[in-house]
Amino acid sequence: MHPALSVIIFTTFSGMGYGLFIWLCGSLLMGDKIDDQSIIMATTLSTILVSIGLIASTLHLGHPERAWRAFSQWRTSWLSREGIMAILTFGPMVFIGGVTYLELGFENLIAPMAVLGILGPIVTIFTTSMIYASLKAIPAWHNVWVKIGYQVYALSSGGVAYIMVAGWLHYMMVTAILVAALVVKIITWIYIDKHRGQYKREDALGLPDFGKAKPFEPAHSQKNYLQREMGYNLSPKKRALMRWLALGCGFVIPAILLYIGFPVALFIALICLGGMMAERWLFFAEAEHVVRLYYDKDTV
Amino acid sequence: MTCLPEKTDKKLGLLIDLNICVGCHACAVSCKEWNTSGITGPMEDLKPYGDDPSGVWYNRIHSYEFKKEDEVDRTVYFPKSCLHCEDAPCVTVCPTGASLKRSEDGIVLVNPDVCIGCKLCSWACPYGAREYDTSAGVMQKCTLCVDKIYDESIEEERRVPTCVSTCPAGARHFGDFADPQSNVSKLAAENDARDLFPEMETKPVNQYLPPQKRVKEADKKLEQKVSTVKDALLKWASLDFSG
Amino acid sequence: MTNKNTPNIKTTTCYMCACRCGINVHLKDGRVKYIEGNPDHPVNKGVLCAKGSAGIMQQYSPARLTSPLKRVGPRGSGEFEEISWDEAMDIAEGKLRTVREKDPKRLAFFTGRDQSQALTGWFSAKFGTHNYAAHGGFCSVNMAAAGLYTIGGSFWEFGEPDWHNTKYFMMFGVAEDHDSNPIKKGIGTIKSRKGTKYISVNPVQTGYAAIADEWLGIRPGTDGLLIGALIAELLKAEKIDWQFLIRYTNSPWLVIDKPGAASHGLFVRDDTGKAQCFDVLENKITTMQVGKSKPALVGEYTLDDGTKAVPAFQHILKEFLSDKYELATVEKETGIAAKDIERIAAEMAEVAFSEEITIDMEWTDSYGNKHDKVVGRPVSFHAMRGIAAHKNGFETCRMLHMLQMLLGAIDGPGSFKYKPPFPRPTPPHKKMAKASAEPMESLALEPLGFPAGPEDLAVDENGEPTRLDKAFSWEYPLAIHGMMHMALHNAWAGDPYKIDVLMMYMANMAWNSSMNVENAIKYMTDKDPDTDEYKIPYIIYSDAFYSETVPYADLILPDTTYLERWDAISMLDRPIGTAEAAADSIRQPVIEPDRDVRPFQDVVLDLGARLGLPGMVDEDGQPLYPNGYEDYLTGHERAPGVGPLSGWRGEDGESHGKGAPNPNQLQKYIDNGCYWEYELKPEEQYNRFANQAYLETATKMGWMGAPEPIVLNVYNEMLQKFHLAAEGHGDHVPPDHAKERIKKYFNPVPTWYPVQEHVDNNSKEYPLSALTQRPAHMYHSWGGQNAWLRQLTSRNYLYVNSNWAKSKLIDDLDWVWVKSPHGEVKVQVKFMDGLNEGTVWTWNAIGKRRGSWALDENSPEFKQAFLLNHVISENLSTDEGEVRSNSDPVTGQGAWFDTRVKIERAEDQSDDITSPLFDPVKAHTKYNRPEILRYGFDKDMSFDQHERSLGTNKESAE
Ligand SMILES: Nc1nc2c(c(=O)[nH]1)N[C@H]1C(S)=C(S)[C@@H](COP(=O)(O)OP(=O)(O)OC[C@H]3O[C@@H](n4cnc5c(=O)[nH]c(N)nc54)[C@H](O)[C@@H]3O)O[C@H]1N2
Ligand SMILES: Nc1nc2c(c(=O)[nH]1)N[C@H]1C(S)=C(S)[C@@H](COP(=O)(O)OP(=O)(O)OC[C@H]3O[C@@H](n4cnc5c(=O)[nH]c(N)nc54)[C@H](O)[C@@H]3O)O[C@H]1N2
Ligand code: SF4
Ligand code: SF4
Ligand code: SF4
Ligand code: SF4
Ligand code: SF4
Ligand SMILES: [Mo]
Repeated sequence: MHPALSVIIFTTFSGMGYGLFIWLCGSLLMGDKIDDQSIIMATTLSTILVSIGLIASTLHLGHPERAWRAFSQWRTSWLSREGIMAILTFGPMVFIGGVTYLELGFENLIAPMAVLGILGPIVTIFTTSMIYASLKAIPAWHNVWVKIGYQVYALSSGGVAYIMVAGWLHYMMVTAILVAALVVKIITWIYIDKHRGQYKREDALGLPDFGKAKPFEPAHSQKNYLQREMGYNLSPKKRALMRWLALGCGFVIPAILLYIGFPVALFIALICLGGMMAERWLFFAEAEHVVRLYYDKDTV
Repeated sequence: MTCLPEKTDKKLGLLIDLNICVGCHACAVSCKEWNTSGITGPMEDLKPYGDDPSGVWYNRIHSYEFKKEDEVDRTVYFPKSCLHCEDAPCVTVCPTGASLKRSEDGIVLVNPDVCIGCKLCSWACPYGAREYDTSAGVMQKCTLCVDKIYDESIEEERRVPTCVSTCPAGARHFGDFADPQSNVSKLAAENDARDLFPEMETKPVNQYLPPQKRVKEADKKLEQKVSTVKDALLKWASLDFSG
Repeated sequence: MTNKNTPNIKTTTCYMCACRCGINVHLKDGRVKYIEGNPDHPVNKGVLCAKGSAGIMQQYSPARLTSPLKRVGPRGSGEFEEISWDEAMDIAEGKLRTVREKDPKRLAFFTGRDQSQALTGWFSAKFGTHNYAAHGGFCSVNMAAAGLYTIGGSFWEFGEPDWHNTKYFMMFGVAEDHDSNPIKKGIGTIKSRKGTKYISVNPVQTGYAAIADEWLGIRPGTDGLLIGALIAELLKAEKIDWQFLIRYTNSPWLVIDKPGAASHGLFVRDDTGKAQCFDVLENKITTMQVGKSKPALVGEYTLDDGTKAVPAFQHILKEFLSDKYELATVEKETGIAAKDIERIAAEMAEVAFSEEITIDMEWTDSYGNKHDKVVGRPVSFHAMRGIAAHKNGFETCRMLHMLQMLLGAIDGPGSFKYKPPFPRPTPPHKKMAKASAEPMESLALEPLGFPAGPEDLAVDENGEPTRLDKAFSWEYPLAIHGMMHMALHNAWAGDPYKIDVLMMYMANMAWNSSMNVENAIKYMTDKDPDTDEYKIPYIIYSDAFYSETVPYADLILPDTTYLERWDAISMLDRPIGTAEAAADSIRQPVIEPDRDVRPFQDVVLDLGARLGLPGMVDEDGQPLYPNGYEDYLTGHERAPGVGPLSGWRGEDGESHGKGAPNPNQLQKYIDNGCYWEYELKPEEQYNRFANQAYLETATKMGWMGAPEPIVLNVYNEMLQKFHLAAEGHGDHVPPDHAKERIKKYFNPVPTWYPVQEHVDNNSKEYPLSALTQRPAHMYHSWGGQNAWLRQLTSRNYLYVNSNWAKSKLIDDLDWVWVKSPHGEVKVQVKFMDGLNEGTVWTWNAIGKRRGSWALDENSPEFKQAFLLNHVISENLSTDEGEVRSNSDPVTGQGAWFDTRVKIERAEDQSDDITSPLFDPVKAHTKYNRPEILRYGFDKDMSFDQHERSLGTNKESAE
């Protein structure tokens, strides 16, 4: 799939935002002593990150002004559900942030809101992951590791952001999650590497009994929308480079820096975000749409 | 409405005979011509006179060479447009309801007045049947010529998709797959019709008849009555050939 | 009826190629909205090809010419000045008048893809020049000539398999053909029924060959051997339709066997010229009487004067049972396994003789025999340029007709069938002008016709050519379509003489219809060092678009498009029709031109009137056809009662075929969907070479001079006359330099020989045959300007056999140099399995010249696409150092497919650009070229409204 910056930003930023908010809410529920300043910063930052993500996601729309229509099809569409959940999830964020900022009290509502603040993002992240995981036509996405991955990467990147705004209280836990996320990522890659080649051109053509099919003349001599959108060619070299980049920046370096207590958390968060963007770039670039079987790839 | 109908009254679709298609692109161009002025047109062309011409086509003709040990190699032309799937993932993923499958005839359409151009449906379609119109910012696709097949100002037998009526080789058939007595159902039943990519579980309505297998034929030889000119002259001399 | 014209739907005839399909053009607000096939039309019956459907984008092409142009820069620069029509016509008139006053033959008029040859040929005759030809000479004249001189009809678009009944169909070397849609429909028909086998003989397995039941990937140029071997198999097994041979061919006719004599190889005839046979019952030589004689087919018989004679058939036997066609040899040369040839012969015989089709029907043959049934041998053939465009093409085509005759598979149910006005006498009774007229005179005969012997050639008293292109000379005696591919060269070389004006129409001679692009450009731009004048002094050209040839002309007369003018697809030219019906058709203007252009036919008639040519002006010198072609179509009479259009003649419009001019004729055509169709009675549809009822109808309709039977030629006496002339017999003897060739290539019985490139000194160095094929969706060069069609193919590759390429360490998508003795071109290769190992090929005419066709400078058509014409040549030198036209020695057919090349991997793989890349011509367009084209019409309804308006029960279903 063509790795469009808009969708990369959408999923990485909102993932980090939601993760951050989950950490905050968890922290609140665990009774951690967090100063209001940090709560405000954390809610603001997560709101901003999620908003950037959502705005970015509308940037690749042909008709952003009609985006409101996207809330209508919750009965079947994960994208619609994601939209609705994203809006709903602003509720706890705004509530917790707003109440704290305006010093409105509502102490007994904070905990239920924090619970919603954990569930909401989890569900939202799940709907996001399902946008991809529901697509049978893209085998690299149509698997459980995508669903797990979206949750843990949100938690890991959000955790780093959390440390940046709320201090080092849970840095070992964040480190652990980073390691867990690393493991999930590696398993995901092993999984997709193993399953690459699952579908063959002959299946796509409905002619598995005619021997091996190779493309003869393309339907048209220049590339079309489908090829531009779904036909990203990732060279093995670039794949390896990007994997190292994603692993290093997204997980390993942040984990090490956290572990050794590197003082500038902003720096760790930025590295992590960069790493996640590399990871997400790969998520798209590595995902081979089955339509390529009609065009250039023998197997997908 | 992106819920798929439980069942459609009809299942209108195409049956494409790969044993007959000569890859002439007539159906693809005629499709473009009808539909660019049709219900979901125009169908844009990018850099039409430039260095990288491309555009929206609802139907494209691919071709492949097949190779098999015990058979003779062969070239197969492969026209592909929307298959109007019964379990159309392109419909259910759509967040706006722009993508729809009609309950009366099963035609899958995109409402360009509602589409936000999120392109998700094109990701969901395993067949590459969705085409994005960059200048209008909406998704487009084969309409099964819905604005032709119901147009009562057209003579009844010509009320078929333009790709069908134009196909010079007669490789394309149109009809109701829900009706076992229809021409398409019968042809499909008699000829080992294929689903594209059954693994995708989309239950395509359109069906493909496979190309004929090219088996190596058994040797055969005429019995020689004469073998040289001399033989023939001897044997045929003064024969009355006039019967 | 669908034929009806309404304010928004107009019927006319497609001209996105020469197939002539009927179309219904849907209009909205004066623009073309949709073009569909006319369901009633005899040619296409409602279907339309990709080109036809893309007519809109041709109509609105930015490459359309917009006004007459006068060259101001040097030739080839593309620098022009726009001028008025008045000025343009004055210039053209002045140039032509000077020529006509001096020597009419110094005007050469060559036309290409037009369908107005009845007009342009007639104009040339009236002008007085016989230097006129259309494109057929390099196209497929071998096919036409072999057919017309053998069976009185041919494949091409002049006959067709009986698609509905044939059970065994074999097609040789066809990618598209002029009968484009009918062939697709036909193949579709046979493929959708069980029990008909379809074999494609073609080095390349694409298109029609892809869906064949069996594909024979033959080595180019060797089809004659395959056909010969099939004939040998059938002969040896006695699987021959003896009765057909005896009744309808000259097989039993006795041939004089007296080597060295002037009569050697000629038929034995009685005093009245009647052919003789040996009757086995009467045991004597008698006049051949079909139905009564019991003729021998072999044996040696002695005439009264002691001369020996043998039945013509015996010559067939000798040829085809000779070593030449032995299976082992044939297998080696053609690459087709001997056992496959044996099997195919057996299958063919089985179908022909065990599955014959009999129709109960009374008919009478031309010899007075009554029959109560028609018997058909349902084996059919079709062939086109794949066998024609070789230097042995004439012979190969004749051999194919031989095979048909031996099987008795001509014009019967299930076999090849003629389309009226064919069959015609072998050859047709139409002679051509032998020389040009005196100054200010006209020719009595038209420039093209059918020689019936050496006496008819267009040669001077020394036996040298009188025509510029040397057609009908001793070098190419049966060049019945002329030799357009030699026109530029000969005019440049002044061989046989110089000309003053070259006029061309609808032929892209500076590019894809030249056999060698560099040469063509040189011929047009070379100057005479003495005078500093161009060697071809003045070039007038009519095109509708800014093609590659436009920049080389001095005066451009811009034409309309096919949707803007009147045209006739006339019985006098290349009619439409089917095996069952005669037909012709017209084009009517369906939209108004939006620019300063004129239909070229109008221009021709106007020029003729200005020059005062007979037939174009009345006694007072006033134009006879003041409204141009429209007037001419109904008013002109070629012979009494015979005009360009056959339908609705006579004052009352009730006569068909022949009749007085009818001023309302065009309206009648329009009312009928722009075509006329005359269906033959069932009993007139078979064995038409000797079907009395048919022949009488044909005579009445004006297709034949007299209702006389046409004897099919297994043995061609006329060719023997040429052979004899070369041996020195008769009054018309070739000059010495031509004798050996005539002796070698003029044989009464067809025989195969290898083409020069396969055996000469270069053959080892250049081991691969290089071919082109027409893409179904492009018409030569003119599809490239089409916004829709060019998206399908804007660049081409050279297809190479995968196994061969791998063995040469060439990889898929490598850039390679294709080299021949005539040039080289750099191209990108693509692997293919369904391809003869010794063959490479590409799509024809995809490559374009930079600056032309109103395309962007960086278009793939310029930078990656290429022409094979860089490595072909119109001239070849033989091992003996002679230079000869690269043409069939009998018909002058351009031998495109004899081209041989070698391939070398390019050193530089990085630049992705073809070579040679000529300097761009100056671009020329008056139209803007949008970055985004959204061709369509504003919808007056929203999607919802529209969808709900479709008369479906959507609401209730929800
Ligand atoms: N779409 C389209 N239709 C056209 C045209 C066009 O440009 N586009 N042009 C029109 C014109 S002008 C013409 S003349 C006709 C020509 O129509 P075709 O005769 O079909 O012309 P080509 O495309 O030259 O195809 C020649 C075929 O012969 C095969 N061939 C080459 N050499 C040999 C050989 O030695 N033996 C055998 N058995 N096969 C061989 C080639 O592979 C190719 O398939 O088409 C007409 N129709
Ligand atoms: N390598 C290779 N070369 C070949 C062949 C091959 O098989 N291989 N085939 C040969 C054969 S058979 C043929 S017939 C030739 C064909 O080659 P050409 O005769 O050159 O045919 P086209 O390229 O179709 O175009 C002729 C010209 O007509 C112009 N034109 C189009 N419409 C109109 C109109 O309405 N009015 C006027 N006045 N002009 C118009 C076009 O713009 C174009 O410049 O190519 C030959 N060249
Ligand atoms: S029009 Fe018919 S033959 Fe041509 S590509 Fe389409 S399906 Fe195939
Ligand atoms: S082919 Fe693709 S676009 Fe058409 S219904 Fe099926 S999934 Fe949807
Ligand atoms: S692009 Fe349009 S039709 Fe497709 S899913 Fe998005 S909104 Fe629906
Ligand atoms: S049914 Fe209509 S819209 Fe669909 S491919 Fe055919 S012509 Fe195009
Ligand atoms: S074959 Fe195609 S381009 Fe040619 S006349 Fe027919 S519809 Fe037109
Ligand atoms: Mo041609």
